[in-house]
Amino acid sequence: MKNFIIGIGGTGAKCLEHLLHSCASGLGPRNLWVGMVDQDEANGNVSRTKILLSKYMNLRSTLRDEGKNDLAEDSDLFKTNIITNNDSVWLPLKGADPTLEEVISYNVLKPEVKGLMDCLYDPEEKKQNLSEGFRARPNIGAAAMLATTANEDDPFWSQIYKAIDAARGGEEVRVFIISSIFGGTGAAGFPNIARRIKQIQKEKNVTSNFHLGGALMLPYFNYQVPEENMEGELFARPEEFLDQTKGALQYYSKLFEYDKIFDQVYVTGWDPLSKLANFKMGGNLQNNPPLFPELYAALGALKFFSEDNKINDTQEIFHIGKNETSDILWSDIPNVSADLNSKESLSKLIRFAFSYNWMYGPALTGSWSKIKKYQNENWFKRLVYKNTYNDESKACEIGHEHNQEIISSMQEYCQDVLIWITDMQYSTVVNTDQKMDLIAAEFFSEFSAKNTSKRVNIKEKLNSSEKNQFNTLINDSKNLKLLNVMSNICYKKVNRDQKGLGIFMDILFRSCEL
Amino acid sequence: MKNIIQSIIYTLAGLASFGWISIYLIIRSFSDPGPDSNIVAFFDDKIIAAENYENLGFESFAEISTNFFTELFFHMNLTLIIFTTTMTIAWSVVSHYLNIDAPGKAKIYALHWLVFSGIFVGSVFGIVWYFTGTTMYSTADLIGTGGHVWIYSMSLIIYVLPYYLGVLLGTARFARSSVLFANKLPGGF
Repeated sequence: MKNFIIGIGGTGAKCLEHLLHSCASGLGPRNLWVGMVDQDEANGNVSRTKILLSKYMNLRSTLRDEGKNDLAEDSDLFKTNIITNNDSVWLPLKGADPTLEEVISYNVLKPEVKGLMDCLYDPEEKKQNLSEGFRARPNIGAAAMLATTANEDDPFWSQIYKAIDAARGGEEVRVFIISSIFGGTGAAGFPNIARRIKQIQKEKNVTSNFHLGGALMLPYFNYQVPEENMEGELFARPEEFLDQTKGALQYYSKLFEYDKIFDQVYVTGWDPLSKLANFKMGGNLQNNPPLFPELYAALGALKFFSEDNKINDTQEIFHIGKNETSDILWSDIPNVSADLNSKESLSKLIRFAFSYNWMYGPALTGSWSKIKKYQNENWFKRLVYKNTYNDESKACEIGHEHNQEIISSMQEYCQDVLIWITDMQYSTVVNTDQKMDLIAAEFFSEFSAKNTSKRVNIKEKLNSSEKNQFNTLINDSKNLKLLNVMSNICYKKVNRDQKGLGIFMDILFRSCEL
Repeated sequence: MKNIIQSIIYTLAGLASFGWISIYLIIRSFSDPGPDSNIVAFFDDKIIAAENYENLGFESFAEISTNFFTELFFHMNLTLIIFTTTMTIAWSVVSHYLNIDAPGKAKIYALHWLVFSGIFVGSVFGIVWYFTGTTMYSTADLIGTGGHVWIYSMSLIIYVLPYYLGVLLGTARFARSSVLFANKLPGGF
């Protein structure tokens, strides 16, 4: 089965961030192509996901190298083989500082068409610089996207063509689109890209094996727009989100009534809305925090890709939202399938990230002269020394550059996991009466809602009493102590196909399971 | 729990390496080795002082060996083997609960192991002294000065060695750095 996911706009990119971490925890399918669509290429949300995607792919390929370091087929750590194009982001409008006027060649239009355009777009909208996205104007986005409807030569669209060709060849193909229903890029891209895909499917006469799914995010956050210097600017106004959503839902209702575009649609909403502390119109400063509803969309996508998910001929619409209380708990997170328990997998990844970042990663970092003090310890001897020993040089190569690179990349990824979950936990509920109780983060992190570039600061080192709080890290009745992790890594069986540092990484990951 | 049961099995294997001598002695002494047996001759030669039983009006140790073996020697060895087994298994089980939660922390518990082992060795001496050096068993008076040295030395070999082998093999894998030479065992063992 081939799986494709497209995150449209800032919200789409943010949902992909959750999806990548979920895939790292083993909740994803075996393979997945990931792409993003955003006119605002420098957008902080998109850049963050782009960087994470690249980290995921690099780390996975290093740890799934059958010759050197191999986690092996059965390992759930970085289970999903994620691929993307050289540039994972598709810009509907190429060129520097494009405007709608340029895209539709307004100046050379016939007067009557010009008149029509004047009715649909006011002068500001036509002249708006679109290099930072469509600024919550789906009417601009829709025109821009339709004007640049992609062809088979475009690297992004060629993947869609390939997917449809694969379906025609008999392979099952699933494509999933995530975006917000409000805002600009997402609201414009979701229906247009979906319809374009369906159109290609029809053109290619593919009637089976091809399934299209989508996740639509209803308004789930708002923010305070500063009053100064905003005169004449186009930007997403939170007070317009609900009206936009209402209009969009009416549109989708009509669309779905007459045409079966999607096989499954996952709709997520949130009430009361999360409050973002910072407002940025776009660009690299628009670095919004990961929010809990986006995790729903990501898990919806994974459910869509799950082999247990039997897609039937009727269009299915699933919806999910917050429970009625103000507490957000693990029990609010749905499972991907009967075999894939989201809570178990995500909590395992979080425990792994904690124990790697503060316990085992530092022990394995540095030259052999620093690391060798552990050489007689069972975990090291069994999982590291033996598997990084070079028979030719008669030496353990854990301190060598190639191994140290893997160790530091994993530590960096583990920090990303801890920052992601912490940021989500704090940012979803900040300034609201909601309470999120997934993890105990206060002992290892500091949160500053207003510091956009670094909302969460995780401590470089923990003292022993902080380390001891590992057994309360996941807010659950059952938990693990670091002692249990140490015991597990000494006793868990090594899989015959595993190699090099893949052995230690997988055993530590498995050791973090309850 | 699975790991603890595995540890207990390894501990028993370690104990059995020398512990069988104790079992043999217990069975022989319980069933009375008899006046003509080698063990009686050995005790007569190395442990029992002739003047001690002559003072009591006996001509040879063989005449009173039954009392010595079926009571003092049997009870002493039984007590020692139970104590040794209990202590060895206790360490192996407890080693799974030592707070070794970080790389490099196992070494700290070497001190705990030394103290525990010291208590064990001291207790072995105490038990031997209780049976051979006090008035609890009248036949203890038969043992000569050299005999006491023999009994203490043999007890060390027969009980301390299996204890060491038991904890060597049975200590939790992650706690092996706390037991002398245990970290030299192969990683997968």
